[in-house]
Amino acid sequence: MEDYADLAIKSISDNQGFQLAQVRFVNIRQENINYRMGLPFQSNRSFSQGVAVRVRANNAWGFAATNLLDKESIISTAKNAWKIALASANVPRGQQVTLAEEPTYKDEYSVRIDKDPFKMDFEEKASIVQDANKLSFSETDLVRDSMASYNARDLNIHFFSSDGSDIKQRILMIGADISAIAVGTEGPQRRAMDMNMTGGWELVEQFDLMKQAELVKRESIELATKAEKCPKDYKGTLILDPWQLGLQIHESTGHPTELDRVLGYEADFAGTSWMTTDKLGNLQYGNELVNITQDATIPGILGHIKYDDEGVLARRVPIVKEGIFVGYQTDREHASLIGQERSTGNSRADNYNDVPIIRMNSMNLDAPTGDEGFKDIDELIADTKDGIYGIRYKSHSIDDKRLNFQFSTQIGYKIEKGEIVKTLKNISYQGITPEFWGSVSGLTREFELHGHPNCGKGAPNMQTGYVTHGGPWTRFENVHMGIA
Amino acid sequence: MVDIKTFDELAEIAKELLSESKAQGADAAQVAVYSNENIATRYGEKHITQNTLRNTTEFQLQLQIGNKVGNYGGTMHEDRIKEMVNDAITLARFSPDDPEFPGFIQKQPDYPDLPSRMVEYTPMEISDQVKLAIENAEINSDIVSVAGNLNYNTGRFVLMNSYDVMARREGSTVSGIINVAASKGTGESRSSSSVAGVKFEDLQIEKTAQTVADRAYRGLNQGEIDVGGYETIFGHEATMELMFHMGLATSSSMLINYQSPFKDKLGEKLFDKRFTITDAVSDPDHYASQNFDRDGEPSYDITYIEEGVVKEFAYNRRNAKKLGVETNGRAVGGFAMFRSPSIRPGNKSEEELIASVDDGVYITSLWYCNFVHMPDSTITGLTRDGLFRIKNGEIVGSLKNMRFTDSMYSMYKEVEPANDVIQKLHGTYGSIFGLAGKIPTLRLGNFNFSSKGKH
Repeated sequence: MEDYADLAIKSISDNQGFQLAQVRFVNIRQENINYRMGLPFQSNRSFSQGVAVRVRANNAWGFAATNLLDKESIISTAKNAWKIALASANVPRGQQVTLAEEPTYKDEYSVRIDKDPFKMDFEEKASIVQDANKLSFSETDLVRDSMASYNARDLNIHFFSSDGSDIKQRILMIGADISAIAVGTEGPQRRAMDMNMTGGWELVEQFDLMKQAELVKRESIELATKAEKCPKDYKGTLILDPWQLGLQIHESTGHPTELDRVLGYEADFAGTSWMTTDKLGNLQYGNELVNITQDATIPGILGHIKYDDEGVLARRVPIVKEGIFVGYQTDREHASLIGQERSTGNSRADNYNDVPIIRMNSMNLDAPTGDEGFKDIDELIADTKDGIYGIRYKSHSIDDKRLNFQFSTQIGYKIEKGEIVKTLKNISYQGITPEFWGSVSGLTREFELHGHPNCGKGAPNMQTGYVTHGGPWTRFENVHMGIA
Repeated sequence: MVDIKTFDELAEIAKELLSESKAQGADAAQVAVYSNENIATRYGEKHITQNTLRNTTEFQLQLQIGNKVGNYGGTMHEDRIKEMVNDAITLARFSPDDPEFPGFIQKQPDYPDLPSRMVEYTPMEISDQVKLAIENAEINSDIVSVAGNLNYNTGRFVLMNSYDVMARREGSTVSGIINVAASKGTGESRSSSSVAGVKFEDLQIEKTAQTVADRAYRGLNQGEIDVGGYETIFGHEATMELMFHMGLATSSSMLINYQSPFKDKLGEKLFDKRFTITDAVSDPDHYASQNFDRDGEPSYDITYIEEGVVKEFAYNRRNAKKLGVETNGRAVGGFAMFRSPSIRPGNKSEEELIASVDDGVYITSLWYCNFVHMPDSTITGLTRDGLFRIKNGEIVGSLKNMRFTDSMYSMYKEVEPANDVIQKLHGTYGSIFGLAGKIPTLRLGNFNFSSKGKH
């Protein structure tokens, strides 16, 4: 690899205008085992491998990739990247940009893996998924469709840069999910649970698919047969579980603080942002209870990396501090554009043939410590006179500047006088980002983080992002619910 | 010179995979091999920000041992064929029987003709088109930003199986989005438009850039309206956005999981008589044309909404077997979907439709539309840009964006298509699913806004 990377870089580094080259060898082995209503369903394995050359020349970027790994193809790919950089410079940025500084590294890193799923017997993994799937519709004729899955994505990256970095990383992502659709007299209702982390099969064992199977069966039936509809046009208190809170963070904090969006470079697809650079450091984003931090260094979470795809060391970055907006997610180019000395390490590419772009990794609402806040969800509910408790994502929509959102949850509960009194279905809620985060009235000290392997960004070749979000159980006031 | 494999080279790879599958114990197998060159150019703030060239050869292998099935896919590495096939064999051997697996096609189908549509572009030619878009969008000094992308794909695809069935197709597509921002004082307005076709001339880059810029400029000085129902004109972008949801609702995959709102409603009149949608796969100028699907089944044009009646669902072989019907050649990976919607046009122009509205709105683009509860067809989303007020048959001013929450039954209860059919790429899923439509402007009798936007 080293020799080929060196040859690729040398084939273009003497060209006039050359500034930097990054060579990324990637291979990804994947396995998905799926069962649906007790039968195998489109389980598959895959392997992809290739190399990308990204070059900065004449104040513009070029990128080329191939799955052919012989010497001639790699050199040809480097030359293609050069041609692309020349084409980019044909429509140039007026302002000269010096990339934010980053030390070079020589390192090798792997996430912790206790039980490598690719070294296990296939039957052992399959039987656990199948048993859970069967349990999710057993002894009932109300569950009409159910799925259970396990998936593993073994990402191996070898990154070289013309300024001297040589970084090997192994990021093994693992997940499991289970869902049940029960059909009652008023139609179908779906309940689903999932787990997505970095590590080995031990995380699937901890997730306990059999326990989750019981839950999705029980609650899908409850939703389809007993649950009442969310009260129409209800304005009041809403408590979100950490999973749904994570979606809220992802959509209303994560995306609008991606600096490429803010600067207009995602206007064609993902949109722009209301959190413009003039607001950094002075925008009242939420109230004083709101502290949101990005941290890709947390081991075990999805989105955990040691280095990003520009060779930048991952670090903890405050985004919102006591309600004030204080930080963006950046890469080396965009950090430089707003005068920041270092990238926040958010440059990621989905596969070898994807160009690195600014992506979230892990962004969470900080839980209170010491005696602050409430111990757990039970204590928070006991403190709530009247409200609704919403759990897990069902549907979402938010505008292109990330202000007006409308989300719904799979299941929820009506709270009266500090107690849960009934189960609710089709809970929708709508709000405006700073008003919503300004209405936080309670946080628990207990918190959870959840991985989400499905963030889409990047046009015209959309890339998948692997992220983690969460925090405490969180209470919001004066929320408009029951829209649909 | 485009660097992709020939049909013969792809067929050789397919034969090798089939042969190795047989040698390792598969009773039958089917393989799809693709070779593709893609140049994706992205621009923002009037310069190119990302520019990529990808040469890829990938494959998908499905094999069976008795009723057990194994699937394998990825990039093609000819020195790893034994290992890759072994992975698929392992998956099949240790899986239980799959009684819903429909098997492979065993007799060579007679595929409809679809002319080859190959064009070659260099990175510099593509960046010249970007330059053209930026220059033409700068219609006055209030145009402050031009963003967009241009995506060129050219490739060949071969599908073969153990029963000597062979299908092959080659083609090129170009598509993109132009997004323009105008600003005056403290006000800002954006507008965007997607483009799709086979060659640059199809995209009319200059005209599209000028139109988008003009709309962004006219979008300045926005007023507000109250929530509630309005008679509405859907521009082409807005019409196309919700074709994805119609595609999901008419997917047999959504029948099986009880999510389709049209389950048990086949043959019922659910929409306006003037609303007819055909999946026009045979149209050679259609961005998403095809003569066979991912199962290798022939694909013909299908009218799935006819005069407001749901007439057909999209099937692949697996779903068709499970539901006891014949497939209609709409396999998209493991899913089934109509992806080439063509809405039957009406007689009036867009101007005449606008003139027929006394008190309503014009929506250029919709954004982030998702089902709230799919079984009752309720969708929520927002206007993205280009929301205008119509009074007494004329556009009288621009509006801040609004959120809508409405059911498909309600919004398409009264639909009047215009006669101005053009091709549009779906803004969100166009490049992922190859979803593009030939569609007109629509007038809807009522469209429900549920909350106010902030910009």
